[in-house]
Amino acid sequence: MKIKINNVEYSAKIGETILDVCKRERIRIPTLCAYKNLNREAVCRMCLVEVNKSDSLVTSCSFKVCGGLEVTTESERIQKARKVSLELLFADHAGKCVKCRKNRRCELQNLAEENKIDNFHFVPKKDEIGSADELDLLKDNRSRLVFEDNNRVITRTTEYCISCRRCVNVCPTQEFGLSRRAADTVVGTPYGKELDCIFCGACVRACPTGALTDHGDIVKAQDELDNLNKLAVAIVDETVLRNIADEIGGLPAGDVSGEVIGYLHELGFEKVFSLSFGLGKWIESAKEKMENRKRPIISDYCPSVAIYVKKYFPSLADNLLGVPTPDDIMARYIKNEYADKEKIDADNIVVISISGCLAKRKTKGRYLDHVMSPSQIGRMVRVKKIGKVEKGKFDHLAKEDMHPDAYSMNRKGGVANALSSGISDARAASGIKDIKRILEDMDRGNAEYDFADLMVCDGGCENK
Amino acid sequence: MDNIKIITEHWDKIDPKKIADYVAVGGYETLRKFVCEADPASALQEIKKSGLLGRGGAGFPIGDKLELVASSNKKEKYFICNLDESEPGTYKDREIAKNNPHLLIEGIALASLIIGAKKAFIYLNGNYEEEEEILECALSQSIENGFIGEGILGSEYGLEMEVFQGAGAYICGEETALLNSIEGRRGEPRLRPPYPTDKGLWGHPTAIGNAETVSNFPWIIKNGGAEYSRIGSADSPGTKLYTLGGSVKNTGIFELPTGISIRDLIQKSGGGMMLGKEFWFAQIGGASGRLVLENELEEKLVLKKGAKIPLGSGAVLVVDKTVDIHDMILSWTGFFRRESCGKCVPCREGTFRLFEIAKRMNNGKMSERDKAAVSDILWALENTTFCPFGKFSATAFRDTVEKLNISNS
Repeated sequence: MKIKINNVEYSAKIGETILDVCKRERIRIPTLCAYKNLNREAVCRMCLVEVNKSDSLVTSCSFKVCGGLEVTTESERIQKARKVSLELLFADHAGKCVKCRKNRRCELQNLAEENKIDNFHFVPKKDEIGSADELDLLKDNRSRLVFEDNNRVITRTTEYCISCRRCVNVCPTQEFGLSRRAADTVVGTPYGKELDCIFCGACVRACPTGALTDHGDIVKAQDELDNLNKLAVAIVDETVLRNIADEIGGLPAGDVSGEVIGYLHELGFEKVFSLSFGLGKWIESAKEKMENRKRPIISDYCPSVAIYVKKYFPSLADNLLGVPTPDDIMARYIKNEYADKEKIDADNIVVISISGCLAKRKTKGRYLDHVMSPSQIGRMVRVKKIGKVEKGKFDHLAKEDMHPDAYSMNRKGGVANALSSGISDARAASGIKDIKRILEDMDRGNAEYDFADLMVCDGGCENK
Repeated sequence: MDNIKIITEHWDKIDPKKIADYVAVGGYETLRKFVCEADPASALQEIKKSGLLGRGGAGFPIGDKLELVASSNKKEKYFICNLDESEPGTYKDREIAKNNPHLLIEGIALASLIIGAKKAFIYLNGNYEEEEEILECALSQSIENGFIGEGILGSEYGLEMEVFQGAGAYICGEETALLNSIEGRRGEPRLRPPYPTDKGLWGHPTAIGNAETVSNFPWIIKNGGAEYSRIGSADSPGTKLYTLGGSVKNTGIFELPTGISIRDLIQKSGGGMMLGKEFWFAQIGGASGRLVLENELEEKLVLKKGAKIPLGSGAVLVVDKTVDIHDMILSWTGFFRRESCGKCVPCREGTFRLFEIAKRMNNGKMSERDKAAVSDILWALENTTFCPFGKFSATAFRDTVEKLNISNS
């Protein structure tokens, strides 16, 4: 069918929403609650548009297209609606940006800048209120605050939360929900329990603000990087380099590995090793382990899968492959063989893996000191105000450093492919829904295959 | 016709805990006739002919709603009686449940059988404890006597009925939030479409009717829709339970035809103002209702959509000039700041900021900054919220600012 958006005709399919069409046609509509293909909650009211079928503003994320529809995406009324909503959100948010981990990387902040929010008239100025009112304001704001970071992986701060519900909808194991109502609404865990999930990190990636961030061991890591007595070593997958570049910002498209390694050197990493060495070692020890493992084997290359199986299918825990992550294997190698070869005391080596995978942080063994995410590296670069850098190169642990099979392991089915010599029949799945089906099958004893290659993130590993 | 009583006729004359009392005054006769003659289609026609509009506040024609569900060929359907009644100043539905629960149960049974539902719920406000006891008692008696359950009065009709008590949230009076509440989800409105008549409770077609609305059913089916449509105003016929409160001599529930003027309600039923009190304004339809000044008292009270003064739930609060308007504003904004479900941004944050501004008001005076803020927030509540709650929460504040002129005093 044909619909008109801002007086231009576009074709649209039945069942599509206005936002779907606009995204395809690259017509800008701001959104805070709509995210990828999640439920359209229509709660942020950012995407309001005018249509000829209704006198009132409608949410483009939920309004289905129909023949003869005419849409206007920019008008004074729409602009006002966005502005007031943003100002209302900022009334609770003003002045917090500077200390926020997502500062300059925040969707709310970007929208506020885009819409020129400079008016904070919902919050009284100091001389406009009496001391009693001031106490009252504080109390209301405090009662909403939930802070938790005991799990070493994910930090939750409802102070920055705008109740967009992305985390509620994106979480594969439904850890989040809403409690209380009206302005006291809090997004959190049932009964306010500590977060104890599979740490796949989907919520952290989805959060538009700084309410859900990866755990901030940045201060300790920073100290160790600055300590001249210690040898700081980075382990980084080559596919992650691009993400680090994006987090640093200002780097050209294409291959920027040299520049990124340069930044890492500048941050205090004396050595930068490619994870492919670890991937090769991982395949070696996986092949060894497989020989006397209970079949069907469940690949725990994805550390979230290991946590998931232990938590929800404890009877299948013995079927897990049981090989530490490539990062852990590599860290162990560095602190033993490499330390011996270079004649360095292992206690003076700090091994930091740079990876977007949060579960690695949860499962990391004692040899790996820290796992840092690309966004944390980006933040450190900004904090240190590092400008131009010299290009760097990967250091090598051994001559035959690159394993040819290593590169495609993150793809769905990649692990089974890399280990194919020891497998007769494999199943590959990504996303909790499919994983659950396979594990249930296995639990009932219906598995007719001997290897299950499972990845928690939809469409393959998101280790970026 | 002016004195006709449909719902309150037997109040105070029968014992709500004795089904025999209700049967003695002709109760359940309509249900008996319905199941014997077995003709849901013509009963539906009578309801449609009566022109009965929903008494919950929105004023949607109940006949049309029932027809939408009745015409669906899905097997599983539900009828829900909305007795969440939480509009401040409104207590008509609880009085129905308290004084004549069997009339309500008969009405629900008729509505359910008309649409072909096998199960009906009474969604009761969580704060109504006494009413819950009475309704449970009445329901078990009507089951014992064969009016509800398998094979009603020996016919092939069957209906299961259950009292479901919510937790007393205002928003759960909204149809889709009510459905969420029964399903065990968070009490907040759903996106429409789909409408409940299409995909309601657990995804099945569901008709939801206010308790007062369905209490009219036995009378309409017994006496005919045409007869009912002659009562009261032509565009929203019937009688209405008015909850009159405030500074009048007689407060309470009055059953009167629709279309009477506000002045008549206050003067004739309310007996005029209390001694020594001077009329300032009246609020029509609860905390979410419009304010009416002296010069608008001739306005007729009708339920029709788009009426100048929407009757809403039928609450009329009369306010005299000794009342501190600041207290009123605190009460309104405090109520909505507490009862917003917290789903969409403008309502969650807007009601919160309005209450804060109300607290800062000094004898009804606002700072220039707050005036600008109020104007923005009210606009956002009226134009950008997820459900009508936002608009409701802005009405009284808007009228206060515009009609009572308090901020300039």
